[in-house]
Amino acid sequence: MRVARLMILFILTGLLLISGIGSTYAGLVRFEAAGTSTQRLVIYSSTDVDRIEPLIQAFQEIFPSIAIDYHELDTLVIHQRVVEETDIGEATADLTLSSAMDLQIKLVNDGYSATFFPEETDALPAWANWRNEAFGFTYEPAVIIYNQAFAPELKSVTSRFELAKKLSDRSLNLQNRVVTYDPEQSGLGYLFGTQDAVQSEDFWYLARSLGDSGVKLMTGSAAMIDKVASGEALIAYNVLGSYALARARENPDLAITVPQDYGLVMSRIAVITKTALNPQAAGQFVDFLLSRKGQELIAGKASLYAIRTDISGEATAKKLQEIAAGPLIPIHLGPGLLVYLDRMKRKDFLSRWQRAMERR
Amino acid sequence: MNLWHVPEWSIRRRVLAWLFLAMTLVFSANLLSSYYSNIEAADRAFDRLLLASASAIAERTVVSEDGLNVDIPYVALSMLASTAQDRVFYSVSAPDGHVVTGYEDLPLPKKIDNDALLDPVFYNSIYKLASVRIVALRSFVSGGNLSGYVTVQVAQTRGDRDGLIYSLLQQSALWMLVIAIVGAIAAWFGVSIGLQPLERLREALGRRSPDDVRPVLHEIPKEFKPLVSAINGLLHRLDGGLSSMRNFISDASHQLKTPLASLQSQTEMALRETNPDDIREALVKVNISVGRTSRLAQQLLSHARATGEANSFSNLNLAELVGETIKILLPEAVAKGIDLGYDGDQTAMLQCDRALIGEMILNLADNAIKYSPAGSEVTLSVRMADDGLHLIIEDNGPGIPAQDRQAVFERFVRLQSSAADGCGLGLAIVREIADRHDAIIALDSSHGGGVRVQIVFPFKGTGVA
Repeated sequence: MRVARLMILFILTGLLLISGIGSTYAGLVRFEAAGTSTQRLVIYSSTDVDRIEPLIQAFQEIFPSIAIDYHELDTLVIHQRVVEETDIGEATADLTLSSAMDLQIKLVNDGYSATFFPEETDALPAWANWRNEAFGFTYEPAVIIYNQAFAPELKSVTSRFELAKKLSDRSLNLQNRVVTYDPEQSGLGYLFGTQDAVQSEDFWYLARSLGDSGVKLMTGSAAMIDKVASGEALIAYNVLGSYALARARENPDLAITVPQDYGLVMSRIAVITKTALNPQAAGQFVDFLLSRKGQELIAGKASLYAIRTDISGEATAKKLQEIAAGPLIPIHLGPGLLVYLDRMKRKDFLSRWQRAMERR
Repeated sequence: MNLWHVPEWSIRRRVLAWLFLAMTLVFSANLLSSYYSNIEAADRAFDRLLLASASAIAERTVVSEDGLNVDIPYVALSMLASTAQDRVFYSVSAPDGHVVTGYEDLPLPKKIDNDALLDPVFYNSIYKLASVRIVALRSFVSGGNLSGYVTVQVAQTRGDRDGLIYSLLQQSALWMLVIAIVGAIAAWFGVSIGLQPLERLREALGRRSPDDVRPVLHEIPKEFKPLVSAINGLLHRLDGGLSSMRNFISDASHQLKTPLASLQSQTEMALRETNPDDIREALVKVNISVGRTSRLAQQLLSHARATGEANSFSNLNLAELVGETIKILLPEAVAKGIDLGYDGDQTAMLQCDRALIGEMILNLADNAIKYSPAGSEVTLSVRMADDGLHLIIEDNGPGIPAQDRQAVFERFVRLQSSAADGCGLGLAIVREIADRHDAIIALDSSHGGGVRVQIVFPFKGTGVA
């Protein structure tokens, strides 16, 4: 029995172009079934296809009759498409995998999800399962990365307060060489920013410092890491630890710091849609993501940080908890995540963010 | 199956069945009432949290320079994170009714009294296909050129409440189950304990010898008193029957002793005789005595049968039976020079025991023949009348004096004046048989001065055709 042949068909959807960030998303990739295809599982996901590929291949080894249509989409587009397609009665994804925890919670809260009881529910931390409808399957810290070849002195940046201090230090010449997520353009950036604001009022002090240093706002972790790797930027704040770790393995210049004051941890969320045409295959995929085998692949080839604490390796929750100098704060699934999706709250947050940025 | 008419059901089973029925009724009523009170309790507990959330939102709703501004505090929604992970919806509406932020189409309470009502309103509704509990809170805002009441609504699915309701319900159901089990066990043993006096009574009766018919005098619960007094009544009747039987046996042996003694002396005399003519004369006497004794034995047997076990009744023609009896007695009557005849209906159906009634007719007719002198008339008749079937035997013999008419029905009574030889059982047997058939015997004088015996079988049901 052999793995599915990989047929990659890049189809840029018009939808993706709207936001202008579509360029980084690959669109539709088809993984045909090795055996006679009897089922087709449609996934809308915000995870890069090359990160998820080893998982899909291993899944298709177990279920050779399941073909997978993998739509790589932006988190906002995932949410929007599921809601619109369900409302007008069109076929939508069977399964959504998104890093926008808040949008996934909104999907569940607004009734677009199906209940599913994973085989290994007990292996999942309580905060990562909401209503048996939303399941976290990764444990990815938001980290600070810097280029230790160009700026070794940034090793002392171990907390947000230290970072703000360094940014004000004109002698370090960090002006215009700092990058972070753009909360207006990126769902994940917005989630990190708002969660930072929930944790501490000091966040706004950091935001003002970032604005003062002429921070460059970006829409993806990969692009931020590119900037730091090339030396165009020296330091990046709130980069996805999973992407950083993968790159740091190849590039020794990249150094990763989990802030000591607290390390925000995000989890990719799997949600099976209410109107899924193939809920059984979607459930099998969720079960696979949470299984030992799936989690080992997440910790290994995919390097997305396994959420299960009974998996060891570098990219695992267990390892992260061992090496973290400060508390790790996972973003809990629950109605609290709906707060920053409130349009007034969003408007307030973004206008406050813009006021901080205006100082650039 | 009819629950109340199953005789083989044990008392324990009956008690348990009643207990089960009663408990089912009480428990259903109890579960129903606790269900409603649980809903109330759960709503009271969770409504407070819902109100706290709405108040937190209301507090952060202010009028700023660019209109109404709502800064939903993070805690307002995160405080509603419940163990059942209920879904949460909210909305804030401006005084003019348009939704400023949140879910646009949250259902409003049925009755919202615009400005007067400041108390929060809690209500149930359906939203996004889920049953939800909603609080609507009105709060006054003022600033710039805007002032009025904003409406804050916070809704939560009922998962946690229902969870609490059912866990409370489960608890009370569990307690009721415990009560039911304890009750059933208590009833089980209670029945055994309650029936112990009956067990003692059974042992006492079991120990008795077969002829011990003294009344039962045990101390016994009052529920068993009727049973014990019925047993005592039966014992009393048994005692009467037994003693009358004993009397009869001693009377019978006494009666048999006399002819047997005379037989013995007659045979001894015959043995002493040597002359064949004398021997023959003695043997003739012996023969007569044997005949009399045999008749006595026959009558004792008839009497025992008449008082003995239940008889087999059948429907038969009494007139025909009388005719048969006449045929049997005719030779005897002719020998004695008596005119034996029948006068009455040809058909008279009667529900009776053939053997007993035959014996009765035979006895009466035989008596009439015996006690009447030669040349008399003995007439038997059967007639249907309004009150029943009449069987009449009359003769024109010497008759019975009025003062003796009761005594002749007693056993072994023979009148001093009587000439013929009888054992005194005949009329006693007749009375027993008449009693068996619920018939009435009347004894009086006939037209010719003789005896007239009239037996009336009253009509009952379909027994008479």
